[in-house]
Amino acid sequence: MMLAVEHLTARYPGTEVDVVSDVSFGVPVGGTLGLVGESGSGKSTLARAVVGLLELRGPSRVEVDGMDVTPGGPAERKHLRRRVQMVFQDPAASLHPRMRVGAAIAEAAGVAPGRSRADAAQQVPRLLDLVGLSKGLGERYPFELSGGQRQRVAIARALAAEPRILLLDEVTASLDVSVQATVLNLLKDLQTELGLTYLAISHDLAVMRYLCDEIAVMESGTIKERAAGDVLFESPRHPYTAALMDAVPRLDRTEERSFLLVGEPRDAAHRARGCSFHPRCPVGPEVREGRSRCVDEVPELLGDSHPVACHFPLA
Amino acid sequence: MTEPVLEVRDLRVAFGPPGREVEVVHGVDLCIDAGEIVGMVGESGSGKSVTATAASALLPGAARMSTAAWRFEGTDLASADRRQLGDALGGKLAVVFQDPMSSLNPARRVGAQMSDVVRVHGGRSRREALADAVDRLRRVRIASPERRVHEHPHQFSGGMRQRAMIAMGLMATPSLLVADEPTTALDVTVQAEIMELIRELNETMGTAVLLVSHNIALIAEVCSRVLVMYAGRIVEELPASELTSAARHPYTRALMDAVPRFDTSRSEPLATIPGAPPDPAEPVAGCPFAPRCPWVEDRCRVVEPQLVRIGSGSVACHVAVDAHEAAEKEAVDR
Repeated sequence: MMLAVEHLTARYPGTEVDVVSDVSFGVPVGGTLGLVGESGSGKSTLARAVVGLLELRGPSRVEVDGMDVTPGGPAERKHLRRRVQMVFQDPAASLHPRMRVGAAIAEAAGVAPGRSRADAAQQVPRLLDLVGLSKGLGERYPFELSGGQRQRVAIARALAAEPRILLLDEVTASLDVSVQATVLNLLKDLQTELGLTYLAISHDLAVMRYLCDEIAVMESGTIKERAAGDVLFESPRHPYTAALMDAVPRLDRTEERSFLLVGEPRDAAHRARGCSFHPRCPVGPEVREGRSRCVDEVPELLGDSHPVACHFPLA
Repeated sequence: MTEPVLEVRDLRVAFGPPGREVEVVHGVDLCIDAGEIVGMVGESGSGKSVTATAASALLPGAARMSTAAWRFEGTDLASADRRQLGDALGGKLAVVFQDPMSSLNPARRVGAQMSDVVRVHGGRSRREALADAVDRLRRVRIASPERRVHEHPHQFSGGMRQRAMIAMGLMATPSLLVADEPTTALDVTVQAEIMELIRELNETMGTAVLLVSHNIALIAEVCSRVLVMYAGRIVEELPASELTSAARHPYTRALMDAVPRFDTSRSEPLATIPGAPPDPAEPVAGCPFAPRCPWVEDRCRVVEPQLVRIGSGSVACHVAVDAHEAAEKEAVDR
């Protein structure tokens, strides 16, 4: 596994609540794992915890390429920083507004080992070319670029440190659909060309199905179901997955929604007992008899190729 | 035939200082019938939000707007002053924007803000108006409305704020709801719930809806008729049910192809639209989509296509119109 996470539990500094609890997964070399879920499901928190931006608790363990890089562990931060890079939703916020984009890319390239400042600057044309931008663009400032161009610059900047893993946090969420398509195509091309491993986060299920080999569905800080994208969307086993899918607008919808969710997820401090999803579950104890187990007992994530954490999984 | 709720002819909107104005909406016709749900789709900069804002008489003072005709329920708005606009639209036209925080006053309680509409336009007392507010919050499925009316907007979640905005629109009985990207910042689950609510209002109260969105699938699901905007113009209009089968404009088709679906092949690249929309400050010769169009011909770069009625829709594309006429002729010959 290029990225392995075991029993990851994390909370924000100064709080008493675990936002993500006991999450384990692995992403093979050159593979893509997608994390989906509503806001507050813990998907972004999980990604931030992996790169050491949050306090980890208990037996949490993060491995990159077989090396223990658990944040807060024995000084493996530098290794982590080089090997794992993040790209965010809003590229404008991650680029210095008064730095030419070429200089911003060169700065990031200087992080790679054994590189002088001059060497780093020489990498800029290659990196711009890699993300499909002309060399002249390096002379511009972020505000002179379109949203799609800025996101390409942010990707070039992430690649400058020669990482093995990219964490992609809602990277196409603020782009127009035509631009989104070009960025998704670029990410796929880069993965093939450079053998990169991706951990991607998005609220858009169809985007995730296109980009990812495997998808993990998160709710209330835990993984509720995990499977290959096609399998997951062909035959979801967790009612939450089915409800998420059902909510996605479709050009060709022919049937009424059957899993309309009512209400919003509870915040981390007020999660439900038993299965955290049970108060909103369309086939749970609130609507079906004989399902008190959902209130009493936390379901475990069970199964090999298509694990699901539900006492009464869908057929 | 009933009278349309909203009718706008040859709408033009320009921004910028006098002498250096840049026109961003170039002669749009918009007609919404009573009880109809119309969708307006396009990418950023297409002019869809400006069009909806202008038609709702909410453009900022710096904008310049002109129309050949502008009527709301038969009342002429084109020659109306501010006060007459308020009388004609107050309580009858409700608006919901993407970010409810920017339309709600953060310092006032939700119930008090909701009450304004009926106290100003309906002559209700403070107590009566508050009772109305509780009723409307309940109707948009906000739990414990008696408590919630006394809260401030920041105490509501994003989805609840958007529902509160809709509830505010319902204080009177609106004949038109203009919803501009109402669910863009929300989760798909909340989006589905809000859309269900909008549909329900349309059915039970007969409120017409103008839904503006960049999401063509959302528009297709909720609306009966779709207007596609590009570079400040309507380039196609058609029944939503015919989007996938009968869209004629190459931009409409490209927009649908660029969105990943649950049956999109993962091994092939997604369809893209090369290039970028024209800069509104640069004059366009011919069709504004020509530089990006896969079907472009010489005349497209010279003559701007007008909307031409075909079947149950209209399209502004030389090639699509010719193809249709050729097909018609062939059918007649046979």
